[in-house]
Amino acid sequence: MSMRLIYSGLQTSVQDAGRFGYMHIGISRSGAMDHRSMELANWLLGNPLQNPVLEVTLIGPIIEFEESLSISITGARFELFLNGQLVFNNEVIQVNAGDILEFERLEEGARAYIAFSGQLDIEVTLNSYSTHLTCQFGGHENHQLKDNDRIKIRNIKIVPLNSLDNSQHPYFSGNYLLRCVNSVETSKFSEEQILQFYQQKFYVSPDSNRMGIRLLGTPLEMSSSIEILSSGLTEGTIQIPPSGLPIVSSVDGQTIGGYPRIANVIATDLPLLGQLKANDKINFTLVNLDYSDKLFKQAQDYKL
Amino acid sequence: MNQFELQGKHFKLSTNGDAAYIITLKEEIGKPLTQKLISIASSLRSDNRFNLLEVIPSYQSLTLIVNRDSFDRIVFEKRLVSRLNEPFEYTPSESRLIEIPVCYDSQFGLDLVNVAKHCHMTTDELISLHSSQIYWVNMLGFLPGFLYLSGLRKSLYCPRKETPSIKINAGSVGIGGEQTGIYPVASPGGWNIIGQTPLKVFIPSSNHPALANPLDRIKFNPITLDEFKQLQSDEQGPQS
Repeated sequence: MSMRLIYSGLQTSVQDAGRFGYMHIGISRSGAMDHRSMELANWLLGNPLQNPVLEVTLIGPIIEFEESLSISITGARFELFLNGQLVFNNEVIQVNAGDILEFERLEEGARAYIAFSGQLDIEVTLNSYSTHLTCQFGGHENHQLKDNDRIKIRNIKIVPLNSLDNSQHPYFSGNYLLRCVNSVETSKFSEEQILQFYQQKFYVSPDSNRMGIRLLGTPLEMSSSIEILSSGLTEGTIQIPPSGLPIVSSVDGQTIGGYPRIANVIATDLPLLGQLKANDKINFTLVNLDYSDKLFKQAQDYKL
Repeated sequence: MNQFELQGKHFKLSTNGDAAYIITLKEEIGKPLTQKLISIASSLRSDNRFNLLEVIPSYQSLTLIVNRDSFDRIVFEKRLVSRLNEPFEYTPSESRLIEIPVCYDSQFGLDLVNVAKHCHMTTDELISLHSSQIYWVNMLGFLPGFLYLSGLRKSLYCPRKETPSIKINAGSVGIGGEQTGIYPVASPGGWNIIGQTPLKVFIPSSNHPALANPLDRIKFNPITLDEFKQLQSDEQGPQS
């Protein structure tokens, strides 16, 4: 049994929770950029939450299934058609042999996740199914999916209908508040620079990708440069390069960075980075560590 | 950012976001410091009490990424501070000498002439100076398997290109500012490219995907274009 990508979309790739334990040799985590949506997609089908899924970006694929199975789609909301009939995010979709799933217009968010009621037949590379898109390894034959690619699915079972409560549906407005804690070099920035950072609305640059979200707006005044030694760079770190415009590091980001860090996006808000697209509006707000820990616990308790 | 009091005056511990910490050693950058960082990294990595996802050594610091799924900040910080106050065993790690064949032919060394001009020397002098030095690995990062090398002679310092190249081939050897190194995978980049190695520098299918570890020593051996082609086909042989 397999599925065939009649059309692969803009950037559709196999991802899972990511590749851990290799940052010291320069390999970033990869994995689903919005890992919360990935987990929800797997949960709907009763899969282990970290099962590999397809990550769909901005322009979705057209997929033909060769056998009956159950799937679920979460994250960014597209107009979805199964053999021309509307189907929806956040619920189990039963697919019959020969059915064609089409992603049409993107309504909100940037990345959708498709989970399957079977195991994608993908080789594990360095303990993960994830595709490292910038370095072309892992996932399906080391690259993002191409037209006519076929992926085998093993151990298929049909699962019962299931859906998320309306209250659990994520909503991606295009206007976001990202919560931050102070970072390693925050104290090296002037009060003026910090105010400029927290008081303005930034716009997501079209140059953003899985390595990082680049922001546009009024550059921070960087008259005197802040010299730091390069060190480990983590997901969600907000660096200010000499241009004065922030870059938020993401799942495919460099493992070592050399620009001063003004803030870190809190762990609870990291999945949102995967839903940002060009021209989305971003405000940052500062919280303390206790509060960010509380938020993380709440989000965990909420986990299904 | 929260900072912690430590007894050893040369350690600094602080938070790095809500899922990581950074330990900085206030010592001069060099082999003894890297040796210490590597020892501390391996000790913390193998200590199950910390359950760390990542330990990333750099010039002067270690970045620790915690597993947020099972994390109690107060307990973690207490344990970490107390561990850092205890002594570490600084076992000298192995320092292999790894020789890397490099073809400095103009076919690969697209910026060779410009770098030689900038450094006021002939291309032969440049090649001889670059390949006679033994470099050592400070850390890995930036790209998968990228080695941060120390030891570039001052006379070969050359600023990065103002307009970065859109694609630099895997295996390209370059000079960027005060650093020299090898691009392990094809990538955009601003370094001046002076040659290329036929070796695969990053092998994701291997359990040891990178060519070298911190503290290993690296020497570049000049080879001819014919030798390059031979070695390249040897490298690709078993795969095809």
